[in-house]
Amino acid sequence: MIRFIIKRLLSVVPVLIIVVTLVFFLMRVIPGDPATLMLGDDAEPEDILAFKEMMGLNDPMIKQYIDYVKNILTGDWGDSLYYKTPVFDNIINRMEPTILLMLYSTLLSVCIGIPFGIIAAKYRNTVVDYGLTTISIFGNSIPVFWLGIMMIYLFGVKMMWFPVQGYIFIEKGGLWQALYSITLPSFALGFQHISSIARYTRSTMLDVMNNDYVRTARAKGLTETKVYYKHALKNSLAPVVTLVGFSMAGMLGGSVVTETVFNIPGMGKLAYDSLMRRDYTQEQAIILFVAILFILTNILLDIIYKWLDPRIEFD
Amino acid sequence: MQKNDKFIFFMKRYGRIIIAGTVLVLIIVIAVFAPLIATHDPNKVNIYEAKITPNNEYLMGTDAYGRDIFSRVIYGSRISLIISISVNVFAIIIGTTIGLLSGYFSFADKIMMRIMEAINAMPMLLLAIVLVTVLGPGTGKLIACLTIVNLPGISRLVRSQVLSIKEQEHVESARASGASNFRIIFKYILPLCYSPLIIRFANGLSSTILTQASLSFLGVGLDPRIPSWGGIIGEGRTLVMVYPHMCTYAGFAIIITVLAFSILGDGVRDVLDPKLR
Repeated sequence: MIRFIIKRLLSVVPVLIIVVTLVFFLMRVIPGDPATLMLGDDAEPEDILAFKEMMGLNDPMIKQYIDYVKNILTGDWGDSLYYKTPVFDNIINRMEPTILLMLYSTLLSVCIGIPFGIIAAKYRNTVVDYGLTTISIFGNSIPVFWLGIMMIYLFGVKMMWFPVQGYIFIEKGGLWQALYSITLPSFALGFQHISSIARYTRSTMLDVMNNDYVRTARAKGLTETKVYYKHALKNSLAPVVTLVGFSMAGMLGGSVVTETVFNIPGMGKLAYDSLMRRDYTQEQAIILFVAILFILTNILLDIIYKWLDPRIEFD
Repeated sequence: MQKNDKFIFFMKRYGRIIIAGTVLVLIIVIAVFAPLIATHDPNKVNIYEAKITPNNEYLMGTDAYGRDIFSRVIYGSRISLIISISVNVFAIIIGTTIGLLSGYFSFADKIMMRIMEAINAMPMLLLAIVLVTVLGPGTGKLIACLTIVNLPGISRLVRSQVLSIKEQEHVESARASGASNFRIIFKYILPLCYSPLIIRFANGLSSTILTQASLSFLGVGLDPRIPSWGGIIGEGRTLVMVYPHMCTYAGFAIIITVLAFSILGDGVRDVLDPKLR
């Protein structure tokens, strides 16, 4: 197991090198000059030159790249062109809402999706099953941003159940206030995952029910409920865990849209704003950070999966 | 009686494909004949008629600039269909080529799969936003960006198929009888990849529409003058508290189209691969 983990971690290195390289060159070919953008259109040419010199934007591309990699490895990720503060600190400051949003959405989608899937499997090919399947196909077709806007209108403006915009940091209002302020966005972000988790649970559940040990359990004379929840459910959840992990990783991307719709000062909004401001030191850092987070999540998933089902071999 | 049974069997197998297909044909007809269906010029700005709620003249109301939302939704179907279909055609062609090469030749495998993994290491939507911003607005560029983000999934799918097909007996015997690599790949391996690829194509269509809508919603990718569903919602967003009609209808258009594509995809999957049902 430890050998497996080490091997898996080592396999990440080349991927990370490619990611760093891709990110660096992508950011350099963005149209629009950051110096002019930062200093405004009516800035003096001398100021622009001085700014470029200071930021190292005048050096040849290769030298910039080597410096960049060196700095990344030594932990110096640079300063944001816009905020003038270290990019890493900016990300850390913005992490709380995003992480909370991800966890809350995941919790919602698991707590609703898995029971839905179980019920649909139990009442296979009945009206209940068809109804739930239809709802879940619907869930996968609704754009997150549209759902968010409609929820703002319905639950925020019309019924006034939830705040319409923004986020209350835990430090300021406590955990409950924070959770309350992101209930609508979490639901919007998690909605499509509810449907995919429900569909997946249903199909793995049906798969498991055909196994020999389920038949044995039934033959032993166990009640149907016991067969269902004790024998079948446990075994059908292993693949669902992977899907949950995947959706969590996907939420990192979805948070860009959700946070923009609900005006939440998280990482996703920072990523979008930085891109619009041509703040490419900040943008590079976010993409790199998200990529590392993403890769680590995947490794963690592989490990959990291997632990749940030791027969699995990864090449 | 027997005829009736046959009909039920037929509908069970192909019913969803027929219904979803009909809806899609309708959407395509709307897109092609948009100028005939639209009641106004989708780009005509008229400040005096701005922010009107739906009525007989403006079926879905007007937006903040007085443009007719109904006509914009009708025209918006064009860009959604053009982008999702062309992205998936290109992505399937390029992704299949990459998958075939890296599955068949182990030297290509190492490099290709590392690059694909690196692309995959970034969330799809974030990567798409970055790529689109890097290349700048334009329909062609948007198609290129969305094609790139779709490549890893398709090439991995094909690669895994090739890896298992490669070991099958019919490939062995072809090789023994002296067939060239080229011939083996295209004659003996590729045809066995068709059904997963068709399923992937149908599912890709719906996810591309959603991704493209998210991008236009954020205001990146397309020329803002081109009416697009995501763009209509993005423009109406700031006024939604007072004028919800500016966002509602374009959302319905997205949902209906995506729903039709996903039901079609599910139907095709069940016909081609009944095991997965």
